[in-house]
Amino acid sequence: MQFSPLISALIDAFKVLPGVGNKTAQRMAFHLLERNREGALNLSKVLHDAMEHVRHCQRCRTFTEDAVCDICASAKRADSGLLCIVESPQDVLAIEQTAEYHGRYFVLMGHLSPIDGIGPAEIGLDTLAEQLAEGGINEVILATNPTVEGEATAHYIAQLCREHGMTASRIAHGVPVGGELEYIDGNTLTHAFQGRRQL
Amino acid sequence: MSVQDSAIDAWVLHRRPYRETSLLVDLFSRQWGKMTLVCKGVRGSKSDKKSLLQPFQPLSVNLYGRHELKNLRSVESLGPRLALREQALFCGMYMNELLNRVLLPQVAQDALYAQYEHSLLSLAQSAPLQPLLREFEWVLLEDLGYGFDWQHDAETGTEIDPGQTYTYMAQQGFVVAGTGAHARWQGQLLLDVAERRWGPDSLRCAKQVMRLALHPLIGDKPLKSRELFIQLERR
Repeated sequence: MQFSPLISALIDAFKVLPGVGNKTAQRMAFHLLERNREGALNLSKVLHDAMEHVRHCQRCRTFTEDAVCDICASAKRADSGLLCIVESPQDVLAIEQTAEYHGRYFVLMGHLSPIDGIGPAEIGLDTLAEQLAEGGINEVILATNPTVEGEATAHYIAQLCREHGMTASRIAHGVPVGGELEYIDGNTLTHAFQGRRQL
Repeated sequence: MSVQDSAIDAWVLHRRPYRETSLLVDLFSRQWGKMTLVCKGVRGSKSDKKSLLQPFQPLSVNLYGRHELKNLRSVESLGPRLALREQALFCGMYMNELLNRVLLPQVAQDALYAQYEHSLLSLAQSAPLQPLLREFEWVLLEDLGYGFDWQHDAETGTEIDPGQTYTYMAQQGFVVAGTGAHARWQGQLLLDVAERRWGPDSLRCAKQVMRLALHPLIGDKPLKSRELFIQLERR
């Protein structure tokens, strides 16, 4: 059966969402048409506004509609002299939820992955080098993912920091809290042993 | 014998996310050369395969599927993951990018596989990086059929004269340099490289020649991993 042009266009449009195929897109389209037109109109307006106005923060590269995001604008955070480097805006959110860290961030929006054509320039390391040169930072915390690409990114930035005479530290990897050693994979356990601390 | 019959020794060259919880993984295997497989559900929080399916981890994998794109049945580690750091890590990534670019799917490269394994183990033991990369590139060219003779003139077949100046002819080897040749090396340097007597000059020569010799394999798009080194050297 063929849908009318507008409905087909709507279904196709939903397919840009991650994890949404033909069937889910149809279900979404008909749900909104049948039951929630108001919500859908609101969605279209918010979607439009966000796509038009959300940009990258000039300092940390995270998403924001202002020139500089709230975290970067805060004087208290700048005073801490800490800079945490993460791969994605979701990582910022995860760290913020711990309420443990009170410094600024730098969001790479990816990691070094030469095979995929992502080198230092693509993840904004020239911007980072400028900020390191400006000063005001005492310690750089490398919170990239514990994958090979994340490690490579951390090592590269650590070298950058050394050139600017700054200390760089890497977050610890190890056993999840509440987990059991017996179910932990060997590589993680190796890391946990290498990073052990005196009590 | 088919791919499904037995366990395969392999290293991960590259992995990328696929759908919500799966990975597409490029392997370099001893028995079948380069292969691509779908690893379903390994990115989920319950799977511990994602820590195994990483580069620089020796693996034994079981696969299934009749098409070129295989599926992962099971994976086991054959040893600890190599702890590569800093420059050694970048070198490892360079070798992976090079292999990923030049290998044909499902063509076994025995000598190259052995050299890759040897190079990775040397990297983990912090061996000097430049000789290691040049020797890896050398074996790669030979095993893919792009090898050439460092000790004889490609035109006349006579031995390289240490006092003469030579230039490189694509896919043939070295010939006596005419006046117009812009890339030229002393015969002595070529013989040093052939005998693997590494010094600053012979390493530079080997690097320049390898760059020229790899060009037909890599094409015009340069390898991105080189940027990791260039930028560090420049600073």
